[in-house]
Amino acid sequence: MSESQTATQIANDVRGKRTSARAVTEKSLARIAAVDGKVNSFTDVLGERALATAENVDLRLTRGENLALAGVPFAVKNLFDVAGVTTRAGSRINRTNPAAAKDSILIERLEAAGAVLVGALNMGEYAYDFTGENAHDGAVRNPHDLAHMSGGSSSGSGGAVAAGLVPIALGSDTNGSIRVPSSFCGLFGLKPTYGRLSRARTFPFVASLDHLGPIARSAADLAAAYDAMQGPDVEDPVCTDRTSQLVSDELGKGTSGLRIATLGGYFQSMGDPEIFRAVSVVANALGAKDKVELPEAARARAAAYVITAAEGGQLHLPRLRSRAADFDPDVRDRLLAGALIPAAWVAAAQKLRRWYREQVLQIFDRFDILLAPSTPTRAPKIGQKTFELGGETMLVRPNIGIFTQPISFIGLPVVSVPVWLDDGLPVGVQVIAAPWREDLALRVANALEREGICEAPVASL
Amino acid sequence: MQQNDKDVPPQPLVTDTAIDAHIDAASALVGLTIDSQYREGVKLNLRATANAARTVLQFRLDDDSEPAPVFRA
Repeated sequence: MSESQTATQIANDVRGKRTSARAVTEKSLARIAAVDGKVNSFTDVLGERALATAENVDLRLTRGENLALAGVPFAVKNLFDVAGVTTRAGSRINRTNPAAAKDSILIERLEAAGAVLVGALNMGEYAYDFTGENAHDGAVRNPHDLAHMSGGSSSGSGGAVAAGLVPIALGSDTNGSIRVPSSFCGLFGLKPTYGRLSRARTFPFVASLDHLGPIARSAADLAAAYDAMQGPDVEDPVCTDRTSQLVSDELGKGTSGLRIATLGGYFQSMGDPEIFRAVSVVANALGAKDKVELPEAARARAAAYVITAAEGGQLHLPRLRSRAADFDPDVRDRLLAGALIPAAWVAAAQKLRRWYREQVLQIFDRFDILLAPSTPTRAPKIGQKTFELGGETMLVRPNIGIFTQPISFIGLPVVSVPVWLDDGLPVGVQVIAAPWREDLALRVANALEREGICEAPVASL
Repeated sequence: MQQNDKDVPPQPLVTDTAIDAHIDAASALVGLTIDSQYREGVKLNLRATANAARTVLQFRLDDDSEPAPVFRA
C-alpha cells in the first residue's frame, strides 16, 4: 500500500493477490510510527491485534470469501468500544473504567467485510468540541498545516486519514463532528441519516442527536464503509429496521435529473467570503442555479444548542459531582451549565425540532440535494479563541458548527466534500439529502470527484 | 401546528442576577457543587444557552404540537 491508495484500491489489490492484508497492515503501522508524532491522531495503536486480524483476512481470502474491504486498515474515534481497550471518549476520567468486553457493532461489521482495525483515535473530550484540541491527549494537528486545527470532535479521524495513516476512520457527529474535521482536513465525510447506523457499544454524548459515520479520501470509500456498516440492531433503540440500501453500485449514476439548490439566507451569512465561493464552485459544477432557504434555521441551531447542553450535562452529572477537576477545562464549564438547564427550554427545543423537520421535508418535495458550507471559515490556528464572522468577533469553539447544526438537528444525511480554492487550506461543502437518501448525496460527491472539483490528497509530512 | 411569533409575550431578559440565582438554586437541587473557580465559566455558558433558549421560546407553537416520542428523520 502507498499512503495515497484509497480503501477501494487496497481491497482490489488484496483480493487480486497483488499484495496481502498483512503487508498492507504492516505499512499502515509503519507510517503511523513514522508520521503520527507530528499529527497526534492516535491514542491507541493496536499492532498485535491488527496483524492477527490481517493474517485471518488473508486466510479468509484463500478460502474463497469475497471481502469488499479486504485488508483495508481503519481506525476509530476512541469513543468506540474496542475489546480489551478502555473506551476513553477523549477523557481522563474514563481511563479508570474497565476495558471494553466487545468491539462496537460497526467495528464488527467492517471487520466482517475484511477491514483491519489498527487503533483508536484522539478526540475532543466527550465529543463536546469542534476544535480538535484536548487538554489530556494534546491537540490533533491539521496534517495540511500543523499550526492549524484539525477540527473536532472527530479530530483524530480527520488527522489520521489526511495524513495517509489509514484510508478510512470512523467518527461521531452530534452537531458537526464528522463534517467539521472533514472540512478542515480536506476529506470526504458521511454523516448518515439519524438512526441509519447503530450506535451500540459507543460512548454517547446527546442521544437525541448522536450519529456515527466514516471519513475517507473518496466517495467510493465512504460508500464501501457505509454499505458494510448498515443493518438493524436491537442494541440501539434508534437504529432503523429498514432494509439496507447499498450504495456502492449506484455511485456511478451521476447527477443527471437531480434537482439541486444552494441554501441561502442563514447559510449565506456569518462566514468568510471564500467559504461561499467554495459553495459556488460546487453549485456551478452541478449546474445548480436555484436558491432556497430553510425556515427558522437560526432557531433550529439554537434548539440543537439547548438540547446538546442539557443532555450532555445530564449524562455527565455523576462525574461532574465527583470529579469536576478532572474534565478538560474547555468542556467542564459547558457541562456544568448544561446540568442546570430548566426542562421547559429542552421541551420547547424538542417541539421545535418536529416543526422544523416538517417544514424542511416540504423543501425536499422540490429539491433532491441542498448545498451549504460545512464550516464558516477554513481551519483556525490551534489555540485561536475568536474569529470574525459577518463583521462580528465571535468565540471559535461554540461557533464552528453554525452551518452543520441546523442539518443534523433533524438527522438529514450529508456528505461533506472537500474544495481547494487555492494553495491554502481546504474547506468543505455540505451535500445534503432527504432522510434515507444517502445514495443521492454520495452520488453527487462521486460526480464532483470525477470532475476534479473535489479531491482529498494525502498531506505532505 | 401553526407558528406565529408576533403574539408571543417577550421572554424575560437574561440578567446576571437571574443567572446567579438560578445557578445557586439549581445546583443545590441537583446536588452539584460549583467550585468558585468555575463559576464565571458556568455563568458564561448558561448565559449562552439561556439566549439560545430565548430564541426558541420566542417562536410560538400550538399546544398540540408535540415532539415525536421517538424522533424519526
